[in-house]
Amino acid sequence: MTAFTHKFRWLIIIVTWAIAVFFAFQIPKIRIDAEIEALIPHSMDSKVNTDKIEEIFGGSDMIILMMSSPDILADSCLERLQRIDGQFSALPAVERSLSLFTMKEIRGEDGALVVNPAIPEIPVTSREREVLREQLRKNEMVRGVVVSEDFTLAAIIGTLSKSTDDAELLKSVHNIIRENPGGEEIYIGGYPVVGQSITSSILHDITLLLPLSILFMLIILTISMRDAKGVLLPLSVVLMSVIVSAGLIPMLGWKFALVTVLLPVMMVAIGNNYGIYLVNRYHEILRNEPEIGKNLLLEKLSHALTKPILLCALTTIAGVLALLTHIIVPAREVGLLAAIGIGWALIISLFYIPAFLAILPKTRIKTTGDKPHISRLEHFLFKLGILIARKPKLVLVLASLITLLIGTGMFRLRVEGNTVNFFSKKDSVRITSDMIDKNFGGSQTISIQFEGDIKDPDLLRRMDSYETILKSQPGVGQVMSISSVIRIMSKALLDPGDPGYDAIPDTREGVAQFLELYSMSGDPSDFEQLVDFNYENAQMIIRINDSNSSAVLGLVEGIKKITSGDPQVARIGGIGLVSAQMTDSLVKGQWRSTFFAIVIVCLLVMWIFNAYKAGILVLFPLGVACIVLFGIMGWAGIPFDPATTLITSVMIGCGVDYTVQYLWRQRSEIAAGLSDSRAVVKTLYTTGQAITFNALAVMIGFSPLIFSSFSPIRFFGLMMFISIFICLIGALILVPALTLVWHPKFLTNNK
Amino acid sequence: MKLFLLIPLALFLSPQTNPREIMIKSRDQARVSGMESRSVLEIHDGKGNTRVRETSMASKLYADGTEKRVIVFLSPADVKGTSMLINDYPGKEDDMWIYMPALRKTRKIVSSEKNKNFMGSEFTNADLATENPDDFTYSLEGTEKIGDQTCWKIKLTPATPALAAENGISFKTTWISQSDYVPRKTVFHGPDGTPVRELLYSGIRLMDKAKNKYMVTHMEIKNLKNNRFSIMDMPEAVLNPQVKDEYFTLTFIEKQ
Repeated sequence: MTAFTHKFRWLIIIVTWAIAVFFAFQIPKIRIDAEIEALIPHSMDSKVNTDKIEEIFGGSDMIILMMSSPDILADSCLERLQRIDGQFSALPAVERSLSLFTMKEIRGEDGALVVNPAIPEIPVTSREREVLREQLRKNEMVRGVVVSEDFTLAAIIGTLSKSTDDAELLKSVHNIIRENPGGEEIYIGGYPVVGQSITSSILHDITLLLPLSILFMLIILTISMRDAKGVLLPLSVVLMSVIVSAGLIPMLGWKFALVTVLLPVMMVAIGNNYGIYLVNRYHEILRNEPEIGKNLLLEKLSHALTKPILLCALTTIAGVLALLTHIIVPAREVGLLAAIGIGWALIISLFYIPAFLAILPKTRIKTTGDKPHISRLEHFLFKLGILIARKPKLVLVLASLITLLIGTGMFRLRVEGNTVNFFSKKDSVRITSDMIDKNFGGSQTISIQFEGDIKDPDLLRRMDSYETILKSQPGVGQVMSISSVIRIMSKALLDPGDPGYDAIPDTREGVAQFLELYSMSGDPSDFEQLVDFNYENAQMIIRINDSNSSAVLGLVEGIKKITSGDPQVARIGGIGLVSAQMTDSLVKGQWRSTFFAIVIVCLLVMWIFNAYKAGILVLFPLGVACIVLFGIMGWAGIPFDPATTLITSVMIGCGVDYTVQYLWRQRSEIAAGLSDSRAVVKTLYTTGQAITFNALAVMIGFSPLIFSSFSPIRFFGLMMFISIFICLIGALILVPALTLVWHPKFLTNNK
Repeated sequence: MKLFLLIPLALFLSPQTNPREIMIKSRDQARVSGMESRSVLEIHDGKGNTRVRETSMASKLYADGTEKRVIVFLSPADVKGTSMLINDYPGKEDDMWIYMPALRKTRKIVSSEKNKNFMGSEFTNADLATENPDDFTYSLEGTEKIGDQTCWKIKLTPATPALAAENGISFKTTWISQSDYVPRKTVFHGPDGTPVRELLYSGIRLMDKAKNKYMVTHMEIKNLKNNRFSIMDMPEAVLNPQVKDEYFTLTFIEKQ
């Protein structure tokens, strides 16, 4: 290999850079996809159902404008609201809009059916204002829907067409607000706003986190290498692996999602390892043999490091590849991209760095002639080795107790899949969402689709009973269906005490005539969301104000129970359910990818050491690391979310290296004639030091993530820092103790 | 100087080029003293689904300018017998009653909205009612050909913001045939000025040669925002100034 690298050194360098340049040109083609739907597989039940429901009843994405004022009925407020509403409703992306100015008042009065706009005229005097307030209070079509109970908030709710360009829409909405200035505060909410905020935050994160992680890496490299070659070569490896993995995103037809933010930082944190190993060893050889020839130097370097680096990279790749089993689509993409990126970092570390070293003059290593200096870390690791060698059982018992104690936090683990909660409580996205949940029934919906003859009074009565039960459920903000419209009509057409008042008519003809009458009173598209044109499908829309996934899933279970045996309930869907099911899947995805990562890594380790016991041996620290990690997350209130469910796979991929490196050295020390105890001590103060540096570099590499705009990414950064530290402890304390208690044969067979 | 020249020109302006006069003449040619007809209304959702409503209608114009209309649903079966009585008064709000046979009840419908949709179609009540000339200001925008007819293109702007809000438009443009004063096309513009609906008139029938009365027997209206469209056909229509007054009573609609 050395001969090959030496012979084709220029070609290797040119080809490596050409590939990097090619992939760099792909990067501008990257598109950001902040939709929650980007996270989930299209085959998920709730997604399939939601798509089918949307096909019939149109898009369910909403944008909500809220105007806040001490009294929303003040004439200046209403005038401004009316102007904004007029321009907003006219936007091409807005399919339907609900507001105080588009909604109706349908009521019975003195034997007449009164159909008027909810606000027939903007009140000027305080008396007119109070009359209107009373009317609106009685109007169940607007109260709590477009005006808050306390009249401090008014909402304009726009249902958007499926092909809406969210960025363009929000630009137009902001323009409308700017063109209609006023003293009232205006909040904009709904998924397009959340999506756009995620998009801009992703852009912010990329522009902040990548340079920051490179800066952190430069600091680590400068401190540990102290020469330009040692800094620039690993740096170029990292940059090229970032470029290749990022360039692949558009080439594979993928988009940049929230969790993809992790990719470049992961590449920087992991990708520099191999370069550091090589340059470190290069310096070490030169320190020991300053006069060595360049060819021999490179040969020694290759001989000493190819296998350990290969093994190290393979275990990491195996760990991140386990993400392919994850339920979240971008998590799978990140897994594959990271695996390719790490693979590329490995290849160029093994070919490009030696090729460069073959061209560059040898580094001059300053030798002081002093006795070898023993660092504090070496000293500490030496003492640690002695302690473990003396009391390995005690170490294991203590470690097990601590693990169990921290691990109890697992029972407090919670899951977070609501994208709104990825923003801090002070963020306007979160504030607006909370206001919608509190005053307007919630911004997320669950839909029940009914199939059959929708004018059938029996079906409508059943729908009505479901609606009554659902309205009393916790977390339900509002329920709307065609049956509620018919009941409103019956109240307007009949007098209290009349048979059929506030009820579904007894005959199909009665229902048909009510509907015909409503269609004469309202806009023909008023119904589109509730019933299809041919009255063959109806939708019950349940707005939820507690989007906690377990609450939503519990509600859906309740719906299934209430409607069980109803042959006309076709399906249950809605963005609220998609979000909740995705959250639920996060946990399943987490366990699945963790299981696969452990299995793959164990098999790989068994193959490396040619012993099944080696696999079992790595299982122990990895298991401990997972339990402690979940325990800490539980105690600290850090939830499983789209990003934190990736931690275990990445942790296992990175963390197993330390155990492999440790066992590799211990085995060679035993083979060299040392007793088990002495081998443990020596391995700890030699390789243990390298493992510590390596782990610290990875921990620091991931730390810029704590500056992310999103809580999942921040938590990921924090938990990676902690989990790598746990892996380090596992490799340097648990594994040595375990080998001393267990005495696995694969460590001594080489003697 | 230029203004001085324009004043006498305006004085000699012929009624044919005065847009207000054209519109009044157009309205008058459509007003008949009495009529009986059968209509078929097709409502299309723009996605391939259609609803058909068949109605019979009688109308009568009274001396005080009040126009009364009675509409009875013939099909579909589940709304058959549903009847409406509409009294269109000059200068005041219309009166409208509906009888629903399933409820055996007549209800008066009170509404201030003129832009309400007619029977769930894209037509509004205002499209089908007689306009008050004072509700709009008029400007002649030139002449254009619609099919084989040379038409005046007239812009009608609601006279007050309240009327604009009531009609749900900022303005509308209508093309009136120079030969028979029957409209051939109207485009309605929403509050932001963009076109929202387009109404096409065809099947023009001369009903009364002596009085120069025409009838539009085919109207198609398209919602430009959501592609819904509706077609109203009048396969049977007869002028009958002697339409019985008893048709226009609550007792009559309740018997249907």
